[in-house]
Amino acid sequence: MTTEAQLIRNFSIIAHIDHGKSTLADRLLEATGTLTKREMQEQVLDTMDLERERGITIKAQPARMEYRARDGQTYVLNLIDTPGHVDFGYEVSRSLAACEGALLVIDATQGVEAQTLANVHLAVENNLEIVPVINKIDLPSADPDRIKQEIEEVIGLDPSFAVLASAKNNTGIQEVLESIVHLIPPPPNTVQQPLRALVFDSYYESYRGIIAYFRVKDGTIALGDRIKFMANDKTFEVTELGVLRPQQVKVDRLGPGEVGYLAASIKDVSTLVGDTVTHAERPAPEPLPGYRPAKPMVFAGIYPVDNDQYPDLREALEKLKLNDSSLFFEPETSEALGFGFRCGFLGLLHMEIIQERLEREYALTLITTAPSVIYRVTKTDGSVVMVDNPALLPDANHREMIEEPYVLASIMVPNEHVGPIMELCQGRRGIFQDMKYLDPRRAMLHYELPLAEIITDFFDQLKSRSRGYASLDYHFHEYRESRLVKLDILIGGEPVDALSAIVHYERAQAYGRHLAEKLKKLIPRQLFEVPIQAAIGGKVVARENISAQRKNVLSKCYGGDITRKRKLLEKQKEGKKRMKSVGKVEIPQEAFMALLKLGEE
Amino acid sequence: MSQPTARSAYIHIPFCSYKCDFCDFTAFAGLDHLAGRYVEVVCGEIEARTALLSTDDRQVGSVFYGGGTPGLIEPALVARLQQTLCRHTHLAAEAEVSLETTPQTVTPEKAAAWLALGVNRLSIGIQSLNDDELAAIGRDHGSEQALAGVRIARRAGFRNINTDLMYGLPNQTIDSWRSTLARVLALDLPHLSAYGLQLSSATPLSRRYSPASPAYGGEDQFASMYELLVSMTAAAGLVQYEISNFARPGFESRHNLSCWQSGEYLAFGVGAHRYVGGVRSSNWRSLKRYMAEPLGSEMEEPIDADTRLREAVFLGLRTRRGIDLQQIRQQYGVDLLDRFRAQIDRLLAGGFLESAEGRLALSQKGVLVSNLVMSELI
Repeated sequence: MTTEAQLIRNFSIIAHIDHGKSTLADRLLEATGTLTKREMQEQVLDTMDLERERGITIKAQPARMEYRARDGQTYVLNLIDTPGHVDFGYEVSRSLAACEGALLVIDATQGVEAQTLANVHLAVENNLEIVPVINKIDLPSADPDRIKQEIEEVIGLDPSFAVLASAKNNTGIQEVLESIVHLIPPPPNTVQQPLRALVFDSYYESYRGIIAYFRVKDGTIALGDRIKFMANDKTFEVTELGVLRPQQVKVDRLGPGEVGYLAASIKDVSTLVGDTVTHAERPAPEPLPGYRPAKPMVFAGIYPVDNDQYPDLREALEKLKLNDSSLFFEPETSEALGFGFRCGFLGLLHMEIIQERLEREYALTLITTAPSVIYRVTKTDGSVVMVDNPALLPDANHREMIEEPYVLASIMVPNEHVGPIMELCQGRRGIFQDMKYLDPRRAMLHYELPLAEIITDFFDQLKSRSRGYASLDYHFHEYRESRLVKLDILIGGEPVDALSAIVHYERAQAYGRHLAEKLKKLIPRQLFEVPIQAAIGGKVVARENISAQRKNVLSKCYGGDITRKRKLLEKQKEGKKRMKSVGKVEIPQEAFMALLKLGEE
Repeated sequence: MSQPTARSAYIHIPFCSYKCDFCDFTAFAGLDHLAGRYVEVVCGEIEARTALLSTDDRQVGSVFYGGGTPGLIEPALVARLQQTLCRHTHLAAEAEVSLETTPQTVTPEKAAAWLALGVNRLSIGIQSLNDDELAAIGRDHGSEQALAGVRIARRAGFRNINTDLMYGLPNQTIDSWRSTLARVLALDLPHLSAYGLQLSSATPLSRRYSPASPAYGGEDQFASMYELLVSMTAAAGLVQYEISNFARPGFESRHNLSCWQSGEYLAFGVGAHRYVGGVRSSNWRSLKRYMAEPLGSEMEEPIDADTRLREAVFLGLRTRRGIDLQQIRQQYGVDLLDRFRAQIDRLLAGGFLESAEGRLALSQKGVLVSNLVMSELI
């Protein structure tokens, strides 16, 4: 019933955004007859609307294919798709832990990018066999020889096995499949050992409960088995077992090396991902290593515009957490915004995606405050507090020092754009480390940068100053003391805690001025004059005024106008529902993110 | 705000000598030759629609010929409409019968004919007494013609005359507005309607003077013009009874008052909106389509209790007497003071609302931003 381990190949695909990973995955599904052309929707594995719209992969997605190779044998190929964005590095590491090999897809015109490099290193550390695939060879500017050279010099891999392909034109696909079969090792056959399966993803369904995606490392799992999640120390009976093709197809039994899903009426389990499944009656002595949990680096407050939605928001966050273990949240209260949650994210994109999913999938109307990092504050009494919300920064006279997280950033950039990118990094308090020329065209810059400077519009700036060619990878380096101050915003004379920010003292005044100007543009004129002030330690450093509206009247309203006029007023009222009343001032959602969009205007 | 017992009836006459550059109503220039056929179609519509009405709904207390320029067509055609209406409804003996016209259309013969067929209130669109302003908004008459029109109507025997004025016009100044107002008020007419320009997109005026054009003078000037209007009309003995309407006591337009009191109304003619039996509906705005299907609806909207309440609130606030909170409570079972406590307190404190004797009304300051105030209370 189960597939012999010798005939299984588990692999993932590592690629930079836009290098053609999803298209290649589609071609593999098609070529193996897993899905017919008719069944194919563009980019099948990106299942969320959000993923398709943005053209990115957020979640790891498994797909099982059957491939009759040239040696006459039929192999089971399990693809575990991975996201390419730096924020989702943790998803990559989870997928890699479930595989024996990886396809490294490189755009034949663009070459290796910063994140690709980081992910390849991750794969090599995990002892994965890497199969380079040089994609888009149909493009006139394709230069496979140069890419091969990069593979050798930049990544340090033997390029002689690289497959030349064009997923778009369907060329080289058979060669990719053959390489998977012949270059990637099969999983070890450990059918006699006690069951150990690694859960690499999960999501919640109201009818079946939590669905866990897993990879069997040792032993076999069967329908009806009594299983135990070792870290959670909870026991369930498997009510449904299956494989993902990529849609769920039920099976009775899965053996070593196989990838599948299970349902077991699981409710009330907070974190399954990373846990090891074993048999309740014949448990394995040791769990699998699991994953280092991803640590949120970016924090923001999420509040419902309408306070009545608070319980719904809590429930939605709990459900998302099942599907995304890196999401962190805890209740917090803001004087301006009421009850909400302080949420931790892996990065800005992760934050945007969580916010969008909450609004779309759970029909919530939310305010997200500007993102912040975690500051380490030493107080005058010697105690140390971690501050993830600028509003909670201890007063200046109680602070001995503030430390902020620095990252090591690697930026790959074509030579002609090195100047503007270095300027950007200097402007963001970056400390230059070194620069290496990867090849005659491109350089790799290393900077130490405060994370707080990256979680604004750094990435947008990076792209716009390099015509889109620069790529970025970063990881946490250390906490370092900085001269930071708290910038407060007062609207209508009232301090709005949700708009407070921690900024570098040299730039605080300019920040305050920009922020006040930006808020003036974002807050609509109201019945009353609205003063906006930016203050540091009680001293006002910038001031703007939103003058009161003086004319908003419909002169004529007779029988024929009543419906139209009423709808106009109703629309105006609806618009207000998307705003938060702070004191007597109505502040629109986007104003709370103003800090993020300050840019270099 | 009890339902007025008698209905009002509106009849739309879309023909104009010239379509003004600010106009976005159902009005057509150069189609006068269709007037005869059009009136026959409307008569058919009156007959067909009134046949479906209950006896109560057929009690009519006021008639309004609006347009367009009803004064433009042959008075005999208006008479034909009036007779048809009289035959199929119960028109009260003392009913107010209004007719809209441009000043240059008024002749002694026409005026006499209107009086004879039962019109007892004339509404004359003067807009401004400054020739440059009239030209700027594309009116096809000058200030002398405007005054002449009023004079002729008066001589013919009309006592109840309204004039329409506009402010916030391109290149209009406080001084020119004061001058127009002074000259119109000197006529000592019992009613005045004065409208701030509502610039509609896709009108020739908005193309010539875009909303951003400096010719408009800005919000502060607009507010000053409104304040001048309020003080000068009051000094002339006219009482402001709605945002844009001023009258000597007893000369308030009954037709329009009934609509601001959430009364139901009948309506006939191209693009006309009616409110009968709790349903608001409108005729086709396309003349061709209306003539082919006079009983067809372009829009139909049943007004449920909640919507009725919201309409009662914002329409009531348009009137200077405001809304009677006790009456709202009795009629809709809703205490507005409870439902909108915080908003009402804030608006009262800010001086946008006034409350007295169980009523809630806009203050003068509130009128100018009435859209914001009303949207808080619906």
